[in-house]
Amino acid sequence: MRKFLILLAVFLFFTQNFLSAAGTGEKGAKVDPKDKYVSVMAYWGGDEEAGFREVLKAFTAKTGIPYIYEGNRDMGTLLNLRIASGDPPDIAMTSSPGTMARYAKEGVIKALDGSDPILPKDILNKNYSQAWIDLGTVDGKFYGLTVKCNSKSTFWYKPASFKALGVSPPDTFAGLLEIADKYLAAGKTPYSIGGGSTWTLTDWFENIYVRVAGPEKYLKLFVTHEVKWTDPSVVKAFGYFKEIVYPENKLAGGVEGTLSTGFIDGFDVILRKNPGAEMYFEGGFMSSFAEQNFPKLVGGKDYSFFAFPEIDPKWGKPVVGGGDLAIVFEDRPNVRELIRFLASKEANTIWATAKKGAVVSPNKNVPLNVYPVLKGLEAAQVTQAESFVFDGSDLSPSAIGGDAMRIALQNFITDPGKLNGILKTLEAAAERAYK
Amino acid sequence: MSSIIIVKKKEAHKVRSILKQSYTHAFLFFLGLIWIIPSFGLFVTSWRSRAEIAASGWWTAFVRGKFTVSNYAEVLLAQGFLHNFINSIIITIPSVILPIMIAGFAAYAFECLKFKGGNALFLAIIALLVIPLQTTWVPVLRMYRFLSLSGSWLTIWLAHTAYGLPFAIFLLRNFFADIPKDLFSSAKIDGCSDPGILFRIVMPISTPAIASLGIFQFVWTWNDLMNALVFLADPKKYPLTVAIQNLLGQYGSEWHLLSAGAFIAMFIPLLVFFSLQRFFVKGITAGSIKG
Amino acid sequence: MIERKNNLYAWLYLLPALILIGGFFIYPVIQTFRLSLYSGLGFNPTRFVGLKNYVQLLTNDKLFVSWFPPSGALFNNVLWLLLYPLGVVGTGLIVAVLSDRVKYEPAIKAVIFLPVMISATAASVIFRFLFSPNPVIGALNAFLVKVVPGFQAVPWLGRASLVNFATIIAAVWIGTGLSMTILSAAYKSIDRGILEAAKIDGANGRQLFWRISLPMMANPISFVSVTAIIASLKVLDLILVMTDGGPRGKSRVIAFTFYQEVFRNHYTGYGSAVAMLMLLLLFPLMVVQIKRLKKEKI
Repeated sequence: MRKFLILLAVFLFFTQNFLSAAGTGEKGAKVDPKDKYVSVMAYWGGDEEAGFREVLKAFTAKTGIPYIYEGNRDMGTLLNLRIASGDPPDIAMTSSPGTMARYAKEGVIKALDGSDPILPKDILNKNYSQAWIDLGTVDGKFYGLTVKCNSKSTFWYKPASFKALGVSPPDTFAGLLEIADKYLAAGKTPYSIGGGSTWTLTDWFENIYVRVAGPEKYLKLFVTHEVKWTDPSVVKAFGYFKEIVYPENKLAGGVEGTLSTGFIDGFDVILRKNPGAEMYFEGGFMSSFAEQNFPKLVGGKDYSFFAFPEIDPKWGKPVVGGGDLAIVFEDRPNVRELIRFLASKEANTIWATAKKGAVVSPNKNVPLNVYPVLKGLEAAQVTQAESFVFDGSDLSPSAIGGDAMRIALQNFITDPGKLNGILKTLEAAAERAYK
Repeated sequence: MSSIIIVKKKEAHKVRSILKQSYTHAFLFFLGLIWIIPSFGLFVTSWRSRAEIAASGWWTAFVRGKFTVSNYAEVLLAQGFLHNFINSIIITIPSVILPIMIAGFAAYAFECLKFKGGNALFLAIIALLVIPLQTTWVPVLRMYRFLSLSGSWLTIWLAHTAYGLPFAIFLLRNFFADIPKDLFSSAKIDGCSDPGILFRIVMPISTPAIASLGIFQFVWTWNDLMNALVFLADPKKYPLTVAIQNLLGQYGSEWHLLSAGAFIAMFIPLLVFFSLQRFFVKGITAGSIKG
Repeated sequence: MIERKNNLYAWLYLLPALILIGGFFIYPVIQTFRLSLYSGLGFNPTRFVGLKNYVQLLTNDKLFVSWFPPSGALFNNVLWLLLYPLGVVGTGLIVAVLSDRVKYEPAIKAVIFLPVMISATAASVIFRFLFSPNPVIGALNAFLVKVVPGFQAVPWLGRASLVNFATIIAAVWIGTGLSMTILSAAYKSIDRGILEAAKIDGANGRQLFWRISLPMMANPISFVSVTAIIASLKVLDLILVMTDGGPRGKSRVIAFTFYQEVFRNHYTGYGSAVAMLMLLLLFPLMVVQIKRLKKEKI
């Protein structure tokens, strides 16, 4: 018995020791490891992650502070669990200002502009325009530093395919529908939609809605819920969406295929050798996946994008965009270093010019000419937009943008005839969520 | 004459039974195929390059004959599965040993020291097998936070230990019940203490039971996704299952990585299975009702 | 005297187990029940709402349950509850009986048992791969397209009417090995003398099976069935990794709803109500299991 307990103790001792060694990956890390490194959690993987790691590496090279990066597509869930267990990462990158606001109200994240500010005002103002500062502000306090942004109004197409069809990128929604019909007549499938990743459908709806109802109503629908989901403007927007997806032979794989295709697969469909469709709509970040999966194709030449076309001339072509905000859970000197670094021109330029996974930087000191071709186009779209609205599903509570709205859109494209019931259900969910 | 008929009858019977036999063979063969093809396809895929996977189905791989180890290298090193592999081992070993020890004492108390209310308590513990673990997660998370345990390996070790206890106690007690009781009384007369009896007599006799329990607990903890996801608050401690889920969530269709990753996770359980198969059957038939 | 000493030691030896069980089963279940009466976002919901969460769940949450026509997570779970035990017990029984007659019994049993060893996560990867509608990935569609004339690739996991069957098939693939092992042991323990005697009395193979073998295996069969029913009510990780509840939330089950509501939608109180409802459904099975154990005189 005693022997066994001793054995167990020895074992535990060794595993513990081994762990701390394996854990930090640092030799002789005797200090409480938590004080040493900065941990960052985000949802990026692949090239997106590679681009961010270039920034982090530069940070470590400059300051000697090691980092831990944790990437998980289901990050929102994970972050909640980590907060619940009282052990969140130092910094998390959230794409959802709605989530940030909730955390701010719960008091789990730190304001960056306190009396002893984590990020001094002058650094912020020197590098960011007011719009981005406003995005990260909750009840007058600044919580979220936008570290990268993207356009979600990019419609991907293949210039050679357009040329063969004898069309050029459309300016209006009607023009887009015409092209789709021409493709159909030519025996080709116009669109691929990665509806298996259900947030792609919310991006579709947001682009249509802001073009139908304008930015102000858009924010009222998603942020304050002053506009109900049963509002006529919503019904109208769904009507436009129906013209895209019906008849369903316009979609690669039909409605069913759409609902079982992930967002990367959806893009692959139009890029592969025997393409299943000719156009794909999703954000500017798709280019990094194309580079990964089709290294032989050239961005800007073999595939490119046009702005999501106009529906109502009154609203033109607003850009629906996403962005990722760094929020801070732990205020430590090392964390401050990283946040300040992320706000700098230096870090943003590294990221904007990364070999893999370059991003559009919200930092106003990063000049447009540093970007790779497609990123430059995207950056221009974001910075020169007549109006820019943030991704609505990310602005709304996660029970809506992350669940009910996605289910509603999937149900709609499966059976558009049931729109009224679908919107009623969604509105009921919204009433609970915005309470 | 009659003997000829009998012979013919016999032959007919033989033919029929051969026919029947061949039905059985065909059926079992077919079933075996169904069971083996899904994993086999993924296994073949794990040795094919990303380009090969995108170009043709795995069923054509043997004709094309292009195989590579690069997926495994990429998953183990670039994707960090090697680290997750070590984590899985770190999570599993105490999670197997602790419940066996604790359940050993408990089962000994139930079986060998008949005490008042023992049977009712035992039944109550068995009843816990039915409780869905989900019911317990949020409060346990809050408890960990209260005890400032969050982020340590103890969270997952304790969870696996506790969740494994009802089954472990059940299994061990059933085995202990078969040990002749006079062994104890003579040992007691010789001045042996209870822990002495447990560790010198009961446990050694029950080696097969403990082995099968150990294997079970090992399989459950090694393959566990949900508890690791919920309780481990440190990405550097994630086991293989979480790493795979993560990979799936990030790409969904990076089959060259997913297939290799899945087989890395399956390797150890399969090894255990092939080397310790006999203990398994014993353990299962002794009554496996953990959910 | 000895008895009292025994008593003391017994409780002493039980102490570690009881502490853990109290901390990880009893206390959390009580807490979860308390949480289920509250509403609000985050892990510390503060607004007391009584049974409102339960009412909302059962009358106003179409994804969880829609009574007419029956659909939603609750009814998906009913489908699981019917088909999964049928699948594992049926297949397990067939393999147990048939493999008893052939020389390669250990091999076929090993093949059927292998999936038991692998994680639901790995199994989900395997089946996402097998079921893929992509012509160079999904072997099932590729096979059917080749063999059945005019067959169109089916997104097995993407079609609402098929997805539950597809996931259940994956679960049966995983779980049959376990039931097969128990049933096979039971089959082998049937007294051969009885079978021989019946054969001499002129019973054919089918009669032997239905009239003698099967009734004699009634106990292990019902044991395996109840175990399978419990497992089917608890299923979560397979669905989480294989379909994430989709398409259109049509493959959600009770446990998935809990996970979605608590960890993704931050409705901890609401999700706790789901968990309590699940416990309530499992309660009768708990009683059944205990009664059986009592009868077996442990």
